[in-house]
Amino acid sequence: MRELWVRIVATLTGMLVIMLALVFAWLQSPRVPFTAPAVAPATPPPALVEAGRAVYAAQGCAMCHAIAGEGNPRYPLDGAGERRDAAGLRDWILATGAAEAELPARAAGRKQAYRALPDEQLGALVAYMQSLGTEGMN
Amino acid sequence: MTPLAAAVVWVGVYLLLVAAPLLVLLVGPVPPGAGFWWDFSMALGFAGMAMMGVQFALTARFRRASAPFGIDIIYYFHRYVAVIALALVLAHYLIIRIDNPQALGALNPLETPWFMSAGRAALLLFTVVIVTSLWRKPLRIEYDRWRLWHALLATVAFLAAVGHIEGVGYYTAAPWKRVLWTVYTLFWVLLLVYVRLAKPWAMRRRPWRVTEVRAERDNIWTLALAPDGHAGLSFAPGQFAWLTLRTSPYHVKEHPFSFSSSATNTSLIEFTIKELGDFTRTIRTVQPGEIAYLDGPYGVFSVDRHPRAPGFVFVAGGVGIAPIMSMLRTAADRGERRPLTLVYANNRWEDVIFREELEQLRERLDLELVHVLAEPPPEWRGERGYIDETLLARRLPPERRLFEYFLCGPRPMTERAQRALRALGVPLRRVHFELFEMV
Repeated sequence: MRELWVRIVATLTGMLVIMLALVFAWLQSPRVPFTAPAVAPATPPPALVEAGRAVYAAQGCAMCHAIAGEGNPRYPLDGAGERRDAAGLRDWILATGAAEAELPARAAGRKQAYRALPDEQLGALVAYMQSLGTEGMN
Repeated sequence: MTPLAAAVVWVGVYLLLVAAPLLVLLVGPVPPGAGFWWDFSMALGFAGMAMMGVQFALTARFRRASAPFGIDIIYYFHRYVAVIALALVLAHYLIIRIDNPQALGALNPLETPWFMSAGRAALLLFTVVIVTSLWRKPLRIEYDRWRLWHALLATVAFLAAVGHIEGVGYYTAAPWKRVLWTVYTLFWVLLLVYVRLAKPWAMRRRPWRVTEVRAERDNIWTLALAPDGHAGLSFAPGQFAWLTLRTSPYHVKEHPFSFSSSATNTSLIEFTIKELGDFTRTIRTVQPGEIAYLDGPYGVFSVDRHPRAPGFVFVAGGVGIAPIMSMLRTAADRGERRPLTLVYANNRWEDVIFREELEQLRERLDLELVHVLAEPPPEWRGERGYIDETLLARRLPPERRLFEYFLCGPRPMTERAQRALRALGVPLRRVHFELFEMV
């Protein structure tokens, strides 16, 4: 008899938290809409973009960022090249300049590690970001 | 407060504690969403962690909170809920693994932030903790060792998961949420300090002295204890306590046993123990004067929980007579007048402990005594075989549906007796037994 009650309470508890989790997921606002293009899109050389893509993968950027739906959807990078110019992108990658204050403290802290990246890798990464348009985004 | 009202309140407290973190996440500054599956996965992670946290409280043996249910059932719940919590935490991981594997980063801890590795470690350790608990016996893990490692691994797993959440820090970015979450999670771990230090300290201040170790039959011993410098312990007949012998309470090497003595005597208590394992085999070597420590009483297996019952039926097998003996001795000391029946199963007549005293108790109580022997001697004229429906139908009083039933003995026996009683129309709620393998 008592075991039966235990199974009922345990199952109800499990259902309650799953329901709360569903409500939570449902209540969370949808993704923040993208702002209109702020800078003229640049067209960096394809070889440099490819090199930047490799840097992006090697540094594990997808743990915090998503591109075309792949990676952490919290901070999508689609359209980055239409929102910031090369200098702005560089600041956001390294948490320097205006970006340092705008970024959440934790993120700014983590991004400082990228200041150790060789210049050519950083340049490639900026080129890759510039190549990201909003086209083909879901 | 009635036991039922208390039970409802404590279940409510439990649900609130489990749901609280999710409710807190929902109020105040909620960060922008990242798609249904992502957010659902995160919520499941928090929910699983809240359930894991409360697990520490469930086994801290709070007497007041466990009293309405019985501590055995709290342990049963602890075990059941652990599986659900693990399922939630695994679902948290698997949803991201399937939906967004790149966000998990590299498996190699050297190439990935520490908090992602901490999350993976927590997942692995939680799984180990639960597998070694559900299958402790098939895995041949000795009880005392298991208990130590269980507490240790569960704490490390929990702290690793707390680290994972703090490290990711997305939902807990708001400072007050971070403080709240940290306090909430560390509170559970602090309970370990209570269980491992405060409780043993309190036990040490109330030591007991062994006054006698008495041989019963069939490798069964009665251990008598008297309080040493304190007033003793009052319990309800049928309850049990955790006994510590020959070691400090801080080692937490304790074993649960039912009281077998009368509850009317709080200054001399007895346990009746059969040699079944490493610890119980040492009972015969215990000398009068040795120190013992007790944590108790616990349990709801008692006639005292049913003051309005018109009568009681006890079904005992072998050493399972111990808590029932306590109830019968107490009944005699209290001048109980209600009808009592004891169906007492043993293999052989020469194994039947307390049989002389039971004869004497018949003179002081309205007690119907039914011995059942599996291997009776040739001249035996009583019941033989196992306890089943026909035997109970023959020997139980006609008003049996209204009586309260107490079963204690080997599991096959109690299960058979339960089925038989159900077939005889006894409501399930009147049939009581302790889940001793849980404590």
